[in-house]
Amino acid sequence: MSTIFVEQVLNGFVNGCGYALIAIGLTIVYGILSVINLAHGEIFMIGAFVAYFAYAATGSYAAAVVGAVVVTTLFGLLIERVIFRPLNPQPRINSLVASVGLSLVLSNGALWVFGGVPRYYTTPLTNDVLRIGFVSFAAQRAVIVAATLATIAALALFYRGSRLGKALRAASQDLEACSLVGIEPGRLGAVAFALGAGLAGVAGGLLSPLYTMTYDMGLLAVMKAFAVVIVGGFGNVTGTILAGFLLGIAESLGGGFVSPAYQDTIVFLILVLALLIRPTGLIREHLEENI
Amino acid sequence: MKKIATLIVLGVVALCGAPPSFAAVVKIGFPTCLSGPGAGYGKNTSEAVQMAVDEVNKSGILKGDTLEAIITDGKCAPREASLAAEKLVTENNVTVLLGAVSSSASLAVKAVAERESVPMLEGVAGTDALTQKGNKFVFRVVPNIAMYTEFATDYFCNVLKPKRVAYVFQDDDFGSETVKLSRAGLEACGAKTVGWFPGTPAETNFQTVITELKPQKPDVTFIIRWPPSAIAFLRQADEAGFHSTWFNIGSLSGPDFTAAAGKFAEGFMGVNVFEPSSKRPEAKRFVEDFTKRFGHEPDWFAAGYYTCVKVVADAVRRGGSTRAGITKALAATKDLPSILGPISFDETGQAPSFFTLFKYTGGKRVVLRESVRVGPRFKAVE
Amino acid sequence: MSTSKRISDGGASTLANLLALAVAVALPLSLDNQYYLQILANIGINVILVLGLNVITGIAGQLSLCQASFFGIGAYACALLVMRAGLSFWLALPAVTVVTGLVGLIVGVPALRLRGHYLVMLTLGLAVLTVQVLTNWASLTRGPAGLIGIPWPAPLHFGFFDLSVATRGRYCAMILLIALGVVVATQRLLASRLGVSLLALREDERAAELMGIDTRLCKVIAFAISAAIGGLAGGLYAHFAKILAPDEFGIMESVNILMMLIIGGSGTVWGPVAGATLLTILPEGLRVFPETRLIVYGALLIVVILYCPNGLIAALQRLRRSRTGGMAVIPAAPPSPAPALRPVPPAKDDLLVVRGLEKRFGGLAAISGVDFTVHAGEIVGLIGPNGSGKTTMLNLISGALRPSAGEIRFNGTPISGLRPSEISAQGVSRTFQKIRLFRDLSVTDNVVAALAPVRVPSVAPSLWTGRVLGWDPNRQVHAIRLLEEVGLAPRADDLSRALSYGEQRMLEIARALAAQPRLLLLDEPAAGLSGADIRPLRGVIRRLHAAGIAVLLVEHHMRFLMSIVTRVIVLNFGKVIFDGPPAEARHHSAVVGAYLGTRRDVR
Repeated sequence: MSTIFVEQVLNGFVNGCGYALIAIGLTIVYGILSVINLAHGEIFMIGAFVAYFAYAATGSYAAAVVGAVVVTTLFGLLIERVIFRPLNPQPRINSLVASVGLSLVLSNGALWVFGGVPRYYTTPLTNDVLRIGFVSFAAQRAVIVAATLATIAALALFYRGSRLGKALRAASQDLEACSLVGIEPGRLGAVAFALGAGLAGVAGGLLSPLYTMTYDMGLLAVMKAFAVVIVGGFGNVTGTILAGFLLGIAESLGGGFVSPAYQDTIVFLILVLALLIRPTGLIREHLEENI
Repeated sequence: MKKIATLIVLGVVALCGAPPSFAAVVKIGFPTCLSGPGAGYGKNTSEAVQMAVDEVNKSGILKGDTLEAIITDGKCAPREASLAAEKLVTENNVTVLLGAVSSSASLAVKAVAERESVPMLEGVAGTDALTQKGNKFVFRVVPNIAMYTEFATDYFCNVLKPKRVAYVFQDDDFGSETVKLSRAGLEACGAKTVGWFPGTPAETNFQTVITELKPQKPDVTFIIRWPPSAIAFLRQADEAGFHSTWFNIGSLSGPDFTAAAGKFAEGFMGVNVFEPSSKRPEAKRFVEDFTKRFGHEPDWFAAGYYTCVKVVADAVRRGGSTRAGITKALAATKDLPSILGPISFDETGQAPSFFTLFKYTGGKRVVLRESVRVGPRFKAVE
Repeated sequence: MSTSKRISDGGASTLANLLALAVAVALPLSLDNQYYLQILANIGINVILVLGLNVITGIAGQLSLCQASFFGIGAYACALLVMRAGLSFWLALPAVTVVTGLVGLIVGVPALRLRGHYLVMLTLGLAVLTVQVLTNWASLTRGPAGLIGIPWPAPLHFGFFDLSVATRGRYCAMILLIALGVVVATQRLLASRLGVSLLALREDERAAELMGIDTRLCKVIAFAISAAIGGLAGGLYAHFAKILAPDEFGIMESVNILMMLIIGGSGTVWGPVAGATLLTILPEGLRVFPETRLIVYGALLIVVILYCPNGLIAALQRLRRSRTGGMAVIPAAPPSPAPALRPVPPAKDDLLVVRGLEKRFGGLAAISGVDFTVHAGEIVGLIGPNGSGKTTMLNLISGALRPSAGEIRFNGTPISGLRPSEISAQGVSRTFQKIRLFRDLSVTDNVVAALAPVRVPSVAPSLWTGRVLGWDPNRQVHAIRLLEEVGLAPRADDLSRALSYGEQRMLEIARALAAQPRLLLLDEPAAGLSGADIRPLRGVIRRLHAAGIAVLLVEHHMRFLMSIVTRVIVLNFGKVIFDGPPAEARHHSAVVGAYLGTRRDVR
């Protein structure tokens, strides 16, 4: 019984890495621009499809992932400029509406262009199965875990070390104030979207060989990401990462030990409990402020 | 001069022309899933219906009458399908309706059909509420779910005789109903249920399930899921070193599955209504023509609705182009050859089912047994 | 959006309501085309759904993603009650409305513990739970195969005549009539005490709380109302559609309802109607693009929101306004001879007693051991260099912050640890250092919101008399009188954010007075004011003093402060260094040292 438990926790951890990877992009954009971009899942899908085609064309998985990141980053810049920057002076909920419209356009566009036939591909890493003790898993999963940790480290370095990173941290606390100290909010918005979209591209490129690719894969992804972001604390990158792991493990344990029929409900119950105990998310924010 | 010539020509035509025949256009309305979660399958069905209509018109069997397909989006959901069907009947004046793929959506279309006295043909949805006693307008060319599971249970209980059975399925109408009946049938002949795993149709992450199921060592695992999910499951099971006899009812046909599942499908068994590798010449021709025209092979959804159109054509040929005439002719359909087998409708509008049991051996689908339903008992055709 | 048109709205919208009534009855009964009839019925259902969401998201400003869940619960519950329990539709429909409202209440309660965003989380959780229960509890709901065979309602017997809605035309007429009823209810809500409290909550939750509105209670009530209306729509839908399937009531449908709300005009009465109508008809119209329908739809959503940021209704109003050249002028209520400031009821002489008060933010001690007393009717100045803890002090007294140690008593009652709305009910009111008005409300509504805030002690008895939902014209008159007090009566119907800076400061004071405080906390009221504005401010404060209201005034503008206070308390680094007459403060060494530094600092 206990080996199953450990396995489930491991499963949850690996899944959690995936969720965290997808959710980080969403939370970064929210943190800086207060925009919930529900089309984030579709950017993830674009990353997956680009990786698929790039791999088929070049035979190199590394090139495929890089291609995915490049395309999604550019796409992020595009939608920021064309859709979200003009919406900046409007109430935040309007950006949410626009992102829903964008999500419809992208997912149905993918259906129209690529058809409904689901696609799959395998890379040497997915076929290479490692066995450690009583668990066996594809090498690709190890890559995902490694990539998630690497991304976290890179982000941390970026935020603390570089000027742009510090500017982003400042922006996530007070975007208006940034303009007072010479940081251009418009440029930061573009960086935020580019960063968020690029991370979605990484997630798409890394996760797609393990799962099947359909035009609506973004919907499922963004719902999970949204839950992760809420629990982790909107805009809180560390919290989001931890929440990703929490969600993954909760799913595994809930679905495995209690009931797969009500798995999503159990996960939400666990998340809600987490919220009731720590209302601002997993990492305590400075709750009180003078008004 | 010109005028006189025209008059002469007209006169000649009038004298030797046949009595004026008004060529009717029989419109077939099809509220399939063009958007929403079922859209991937919806596209195949609309392609198949269009192809069937074109074939019928080209063949000239309707002697001047033509068929026209009006395909619109029902989203596989009752509210949308109802609106779509209503529009087809009221605005587009269709003569015949086709079902809406999912059970609940097709039931909504049935309500419209009954209210407006429009004949309706079903090519996929398996709920028995579609063809129950008292039904006058709905005609189904594919089996209902109970029939599928009866065939499968028969094979299991009499041939395979598994001791431990697990079920991994999607919680939509097809998945839930199928496993519920299968489980009842199998438990009745002594198989123990060691795993029960529902999930959303779009699920592709089965680590949790596999971890739970592997130690249970089931002899047979039912995988009642669409190809993307089923393939993900098979791959992940192999990754985890979990093997069982995989079994599917009704949802996996077509080369997408074969090609994508690859070596993971080895030993996989399934029951189909439409078997692409069938020896029947009509089936082979259908597969070839479809692939040539659309660039990918058809699945059984496509086959189901294709057959519907062919059945309609036959009814028009016998009963004329009015709703009432077609309805009467449909009820009288007897042993009409089709890619699914000979079609006749019983008094509830249900056609008999022709199942194929196949197994993946050496990378190819091998047909193990075919059968035809005669009355309540099966007659196996090996 | 602004409710300043409320009085004139009464006239205009009665006409609109009557027109709508005529359409609601005549149209479905005369329509032969079953397709159009179905669309009309769907419009009616969607209007009800969106008006429901409007209460929690549009008016109260809390994003909810589970409106479709209430829709589903209502639909299934009504159908099951009729089909399995044999209840009459006419009983089942109101029953499910109430039951769904209760579900909303139960789900809303845990949200009390969670801040703003996290209500969304709970709504998501409910959305997921609802679909899973509907799907998996197959013995009750028939699961994914769908609940079928839902019958027409039995006729309602009224003595010698029967009301039957067993045809599509009549049922549709009933749907539209009920939708109109919900429209009227929304109009009543916006005009009521609860409505104004919800609007204030949307505009600025913390300020609303400090003005005496129990924001947690308001959120729960709003959520319950939204739920009930969603359930109502569900029950109506079930017996028209006759088939229900679980996955029609998921998150996607909730998002769809949200789209209708925002596109139409969130927070208004007719916005939801416009949005529901447009976004029900549009996908039908787009059937000319069978394969690309949703792509076009999504693109249209983006375009519309880019060009109509406040929704269609607002865009239409802008068009109308520009053509008629400005809003209609509403005559203000005639000024009354009686003074607005009622004499303050007698209180203890030691009105505000602060003992041993401490406040730490992490390692920083903002207030470290403060004792002082404010007596009834005094004007006390609270001064000190920047960072000495003055605003923190006001926040502690008003309840915006909780003390780390020590106690505060007001009129004999300990108030430290109470919620701000409770403290406000005790008789403490305030203004803010950084102006926190309810920006999208009119000048009058800012005051009205604070005049009769929804909170527990006052809600319960009012519910019996319906005053919570009632429109009390006296409130309007009282608000105008308060505005006269601060000289803002001519601007009564303008949006508060259109006021000049000085006027906004005055409005904050009028709003604070609405709560009939015994003690008024003023946080730098003269900041940024020119001489011309300071004179009236001084006048107002003197009049407050004359009415017996005690004032605790935080100010940097020394000349202004010294000219009106009777006592001065000086803070430095969170401690009181002086407490006495203003003239002495000027020369007190500690005070001078705090502001200017000591000789030691200079060297």
